[in-house]
Amino acid sequence: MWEETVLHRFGVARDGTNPVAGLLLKNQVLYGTTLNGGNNDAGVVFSLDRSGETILYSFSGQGTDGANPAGGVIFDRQGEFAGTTTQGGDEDVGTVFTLTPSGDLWQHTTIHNFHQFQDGYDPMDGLIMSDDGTLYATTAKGGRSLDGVVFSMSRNETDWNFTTLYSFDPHGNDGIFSTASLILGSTGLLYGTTAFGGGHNSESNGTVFSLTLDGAETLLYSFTGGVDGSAPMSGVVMDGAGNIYGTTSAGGKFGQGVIFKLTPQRDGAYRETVLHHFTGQADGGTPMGGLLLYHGALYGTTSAGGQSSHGVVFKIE
Amino acid sequence: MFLRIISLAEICILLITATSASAASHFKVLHSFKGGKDGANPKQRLLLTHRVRSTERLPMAEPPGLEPYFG
Repeated sequence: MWEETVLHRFGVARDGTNPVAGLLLKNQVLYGTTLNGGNNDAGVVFSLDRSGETILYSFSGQGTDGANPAGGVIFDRQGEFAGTTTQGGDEDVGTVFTLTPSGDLWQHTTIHNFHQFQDGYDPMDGLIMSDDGTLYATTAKGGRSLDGVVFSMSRNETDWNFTTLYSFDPHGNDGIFSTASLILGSTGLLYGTTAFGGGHNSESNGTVFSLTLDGAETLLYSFTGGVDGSAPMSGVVMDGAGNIYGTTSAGGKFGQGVIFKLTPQRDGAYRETVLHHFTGQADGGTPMGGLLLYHGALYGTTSAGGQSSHGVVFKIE
Repeated sequence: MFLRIISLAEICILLITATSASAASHFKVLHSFKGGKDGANPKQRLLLTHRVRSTERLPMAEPPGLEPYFG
């Protein structure tokens, strides 16, 4: 039996609304973002603990501080928050920001402004951090072919340096439009998904890829849009044996998405196995969030389906 | 342990708490959103934590890899 408890309802007064990113738990405090709401309806960064919610920063919706964060926040090595916004900044196509504790307040700093035709734009999910403090994430659009990039941000003593590690290429078998965060595997490689593109161009059903930290991409799997799934909108997780797990938002036997497993083969290729075909009925449908792997079980959510057609929380093992 | 997500339509943060050990199964729905006060249409990755119901007594041993949440 599982029991639900609502911890906080958003939207009262100048509270944030539409929390589309996951949460961070640090020292018994939850941290997150909302896409909208706040003082200027441009989203907020909030904390939540037993005493309730605190708005740490409310985006201005104009100027260079960014607006409408779709990804969550992480703590960087300096104890600052770091995150992305999908809008705002120099060209109103997104930023990377930090929030630094300053007494009881948080000091906002834009550490990168995205530019449409240079470095990618519209980061749809949050950052991850490697052991050396370098930040990594994807953008859904922009870059050399305007179909999204993988970027890194590294820090010297005073400044953050932005690097476009890889630009997705729509002309070959490459994936395009990555809406998900990355993981850094035990292999030392970055792993992620693209919602579209891949080796089946006419269907354009998305991919799973790996990337070296200096930007060499390997396409691990291209979805056909058939029973193997289509359009992964979230990232992947990896177990100790190097198997990769994720969800697709569409495709599968019932067109409602799948839970998939990619198993590495001796020749370096990956073999896909569908662990579950969502029906859109009681078991849910259209999973948009990533999976959580814990003690051999996968946990996740669906955005649709279920007894009341409002989604489910599921476990598979 | 419990899972925490934010659901979009009802715009709330909620807990899904294991109140007893569940039988092993291949695929299991842990919670089905009703679309009312319990939230709806989640689109995020879950966060797994170890829920501690009292701050006065810490658990003797936490599940590995899980940070406690006092609530």
